[in-house]
Amino acid sequence: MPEQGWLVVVNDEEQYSIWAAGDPPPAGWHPTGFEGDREACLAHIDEVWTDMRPRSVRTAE
Amino acid sequence: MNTTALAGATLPGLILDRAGLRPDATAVRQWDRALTYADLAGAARALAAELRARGVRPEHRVGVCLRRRPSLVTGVLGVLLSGGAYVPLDPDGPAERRAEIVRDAGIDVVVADEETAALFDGAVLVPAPGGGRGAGDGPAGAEEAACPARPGNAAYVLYTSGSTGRPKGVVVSHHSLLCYALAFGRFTGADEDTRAFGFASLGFDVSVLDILVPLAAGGSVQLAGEADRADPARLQRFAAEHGVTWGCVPVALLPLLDPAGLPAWRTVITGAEAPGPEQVERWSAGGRRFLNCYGPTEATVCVTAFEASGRWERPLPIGRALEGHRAYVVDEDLRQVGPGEPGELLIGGFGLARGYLNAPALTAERFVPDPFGEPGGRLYRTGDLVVRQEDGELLFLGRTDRQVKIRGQRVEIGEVETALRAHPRVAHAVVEAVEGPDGARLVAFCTPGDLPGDELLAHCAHRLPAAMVPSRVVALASLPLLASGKVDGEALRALLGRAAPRAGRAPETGLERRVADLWARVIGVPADQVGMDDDFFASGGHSISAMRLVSAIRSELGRPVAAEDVFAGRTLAGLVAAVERAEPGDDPLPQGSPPTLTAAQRRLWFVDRLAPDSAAYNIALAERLRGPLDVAALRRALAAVAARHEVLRWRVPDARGLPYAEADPPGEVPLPIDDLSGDDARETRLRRLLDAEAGHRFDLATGPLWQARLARLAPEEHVLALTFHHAVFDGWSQRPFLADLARAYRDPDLGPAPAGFADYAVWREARDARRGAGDLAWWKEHLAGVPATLELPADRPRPPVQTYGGAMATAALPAGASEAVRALAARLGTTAPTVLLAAFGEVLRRVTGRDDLVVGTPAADRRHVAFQDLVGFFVEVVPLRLRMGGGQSFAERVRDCAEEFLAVLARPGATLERMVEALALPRDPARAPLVQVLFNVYNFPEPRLDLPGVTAERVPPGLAGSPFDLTVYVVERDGSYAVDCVYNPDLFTAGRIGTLLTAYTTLLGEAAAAPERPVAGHDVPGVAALASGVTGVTGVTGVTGTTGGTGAAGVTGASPSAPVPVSAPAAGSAAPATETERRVAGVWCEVLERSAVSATDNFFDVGGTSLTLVVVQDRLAELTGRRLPLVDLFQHTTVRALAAHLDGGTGRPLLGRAEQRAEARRQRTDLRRKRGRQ
Repeated sequence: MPEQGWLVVVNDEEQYSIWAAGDPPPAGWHPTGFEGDREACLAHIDEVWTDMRPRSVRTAE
Repeated sequence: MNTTALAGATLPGLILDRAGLRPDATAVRQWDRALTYADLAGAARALAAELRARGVRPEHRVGVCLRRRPSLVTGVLGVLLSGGAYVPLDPDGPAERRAEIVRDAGIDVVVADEETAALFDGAVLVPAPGGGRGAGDGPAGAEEAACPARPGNAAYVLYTSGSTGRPKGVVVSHHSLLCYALAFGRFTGADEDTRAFGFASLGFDVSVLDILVPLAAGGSVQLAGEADRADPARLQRFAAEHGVTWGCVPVALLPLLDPAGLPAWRTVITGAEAPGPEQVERWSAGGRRFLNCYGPTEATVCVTAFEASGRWERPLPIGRALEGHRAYVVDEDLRQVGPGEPGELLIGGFGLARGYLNAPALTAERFVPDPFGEPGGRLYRTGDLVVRQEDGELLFLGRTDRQVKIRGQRVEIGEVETALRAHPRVAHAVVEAVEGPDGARLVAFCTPGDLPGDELLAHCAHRLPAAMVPSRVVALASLPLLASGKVDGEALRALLGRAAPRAGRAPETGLERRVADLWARVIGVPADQVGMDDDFFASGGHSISAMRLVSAIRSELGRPVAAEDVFAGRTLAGLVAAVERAEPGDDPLPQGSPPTLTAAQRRLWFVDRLAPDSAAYNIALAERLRGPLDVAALRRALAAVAARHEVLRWRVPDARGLPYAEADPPGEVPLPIDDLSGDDARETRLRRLLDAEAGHRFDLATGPLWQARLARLAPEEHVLALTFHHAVFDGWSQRPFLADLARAYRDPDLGPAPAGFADYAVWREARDARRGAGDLAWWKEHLAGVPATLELPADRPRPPVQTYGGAMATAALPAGASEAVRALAARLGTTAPTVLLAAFGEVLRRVTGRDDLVVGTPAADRRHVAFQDLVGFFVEVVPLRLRMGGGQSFAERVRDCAEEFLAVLARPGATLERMVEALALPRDPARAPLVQVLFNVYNFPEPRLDLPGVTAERVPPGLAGSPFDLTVYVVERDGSYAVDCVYNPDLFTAGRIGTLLTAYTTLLGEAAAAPERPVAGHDVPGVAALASGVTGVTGVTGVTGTTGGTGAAGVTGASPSAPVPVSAPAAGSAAPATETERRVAGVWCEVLERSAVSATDNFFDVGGTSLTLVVVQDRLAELTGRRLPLVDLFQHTTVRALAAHLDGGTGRPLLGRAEQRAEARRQRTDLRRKRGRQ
């Protein structure tokens, strides 16, 4: 069985997660465009999610 | 929860509001250290101001390293108020761990107290109330600023174990904290009157429940300090004297606290691991709420709860999602599964953490898009495997990964392995979580085989919190592998049953052996592997097991040791020294007491009256002595031992039906010699001689109550046969008796004993008077509804009067079973006999079809050190109630049995007689009351007689008789366990007992080898045959009708409500009608101290007991000149029945016979003489 593909997804608070490719992500979550196997997606998130504070917290300062 | 209403509000702001409304209310208390709300608010404001001055702003992480004093709460609140996020740093934990957290969280400010400040450079000191810029000065400037944090800002960061080898910080927002504190307070009814139990460590999420939930509700925190937390008795006192009303008790502490002594405590919360179902009934009694809560740190504290009450016998569910939370059970593709299907638990709701600090990938992996709720929402993947029951409640099943709970704390096994592999000498390390006495414990298996285990443990202790340090390291040349190449975990666990070398000498004295037994039981190692220099903590002990050990020493040895004694002493030798120092119990040891009978001795005297031809209560031993024997020295030695142990010179006459003890002066002890040396059949004759000795009928009234006999088989080969009546001896007495005999053989001057048996009798009476009522109440509740009899199907009808006949059978365990039993016992932290009992219980369940039954076990009441080396009858038969759930695994059964043992042994203040009375169980001369089957766990190596130039070897003694229908003895022979079974051949054939033993040993072998399987699934050969047979008594209606029976119905079918009087119909007037009836009624009234009895009252219903029945027997003998057999009185328990029996028996009216009256007068005179000697 080939490795299932995964999407990197993000919500409005700019919190990242992953979602199995094939089904669209749940409402309020958007694909960032990065796609790959699970490990690659998580490694990508490690690179791009540099400020883990929710957006509402960051912008309130 | 309406979250918008809270916008802008913060938890510290809310607590300050509380302080404004009720400034003088208590906020935190620890004995005489207390903070009012004004104190707390003032000090927290001062701290917040200082922190802000140091640059602390929202999202700034501040270390909190404080001792458990009220100022700990000030520290937490001050950081929250400053807007920063607090990060607990454990002052008692390893420095490396603290350093790692400081690095990971980027901490540059730490709040400390005078003691912990030394651990950091430039720490901020937590202010004392009223000191510095406290409440009294009034807030000014920046201090007045409200908490600047917004709902999404971090409130705290808690570090939990991480599978990659590093701890991970869970970031929880102010919003989660505030919502949780308010919602959980509402759910549990926290309010201004709440006095909360502050027990959890600050680094553990339950501390949020302990501290911040009650403060948000305006209640107070009763903060337990370190010393009180470490000791169950102190903790009990702490909770009682602080009037705790509400709070969380860790699962492992539930059995160690006594809820009955904490009546103010109305809401008890537990969780973090599975509570023992038996705790529900204890804790929920009297309407106390018992909540089993569940929740990971990643969801703040609790997200589900289950409220339980009454009796529980299966695992407790974790319940349903609490307000504001959602719980989904999903498959691997995050699709919900139906009820009954296991799946991973996903959680959504306000409690969800922001994520893991500085770990984006890990956060993204565990906090996933929520397909079921609000757009853009997240769910936390707990990794917990659960099932939703048909009733909607969630049940925890296990983990989907290698996370385990050790003493309630989350441990990623991978993190422990990483720490071990960091040691330069470790090649490979695998850690297994093994079920132990307090849940799971960690065992590390490492290569190569010459690794120093102690050094590895120290290495771990420098890096890891206590819960993550393995309890044991096993060094191996190589790790066993499965065909797949993975490490074979099962094979590793199997290694654990093997003996570890003990340190130092073996325990020798009575006290050393008693303490070693408790030590072994608590740690979960075989007792024969404990050495005096063993270190408690290196042997797998930890803080909770130290509490259990202290508890056991207090209750079973009556020594008020403290947990500190275990921590300070560390070794068994150190602990024994502490036990020796500790003043025994509350009851002083009397000295030089006159001969006094114990309740147990009076019971034996009664049995002797009831069955005068039986020798069932004899204890026989025989030693074959090879070598030159000095017979004269042996005679002197026997006399010296009897001189030292007064009880060996006792006899038990009676005065008008009341037994009393008299001691004869020291003197010679007869030692008849049978010379068999010229006889070709000498071994046969020896066997006959030993049988005759063992069956000797001791006359209790005239004594002596023991005897010795010597058989000479050759000039240098003798057999010494010793036979004792149980009333002056017990199994434990063998060692002091033989040891003193050996000493006296060398030098007859033994000196006085530290106490006499009479001192024990007096001491015991005081002890029972002090705690008897409490213990009896416990027993009454514990045994409520228990079946009065355990009737094993028999081959012969039960004789109407118990016969005490004895026969014996024995069976060895199947190959490998002894090792499996030992390994399982060690794994579960209990003794091998407990494992054997669990299997025996299952056999009884199958054979009788009952899942609730009683077997007895002997317990040695040698709780005072002065009694350890005394000869005497210190044994009580204690009922063990076995309640067996059909679906339970064998391991669960064993654990239940272990709990039952601990529970019953802690209640020595009530005798079996008093239990029988309190439960109003039917009296029945056909069987022993309450306990008909005895399970004897006494398993000590048989002592030998050590005489100079003589080798001694135990010879099987003759068989005396069977006090019970069936007695099972667990024995150890040549390193394997065997089962000896003494039974009554008037009930059972040898064939049936053989089948029973085969069934038992077969089941034991299978169950011990597969302890996690449901025990009901194992085959038990021969059950059908064993389950069929005769039950009940010959002429059953006659006997059940006269047993009185106001209590529980026995399995014979006696109806408790409608006893059938056989000899005397209840029709007609109840007043005594005939002269004989009036006389009998008069005797009853005198003996029972009642003004009147009716002709149809049952003796046992109007205050009569077995022993007062003997007094009736005696009075009637005075009146009639004829001594009725006691059993007749048992069988005619109303005035009318007894009068009819008396009249019918003689064929003439009872009274009016002058010579009888004359006889009665003679007896009275005689008795007065006897009493004069008393």
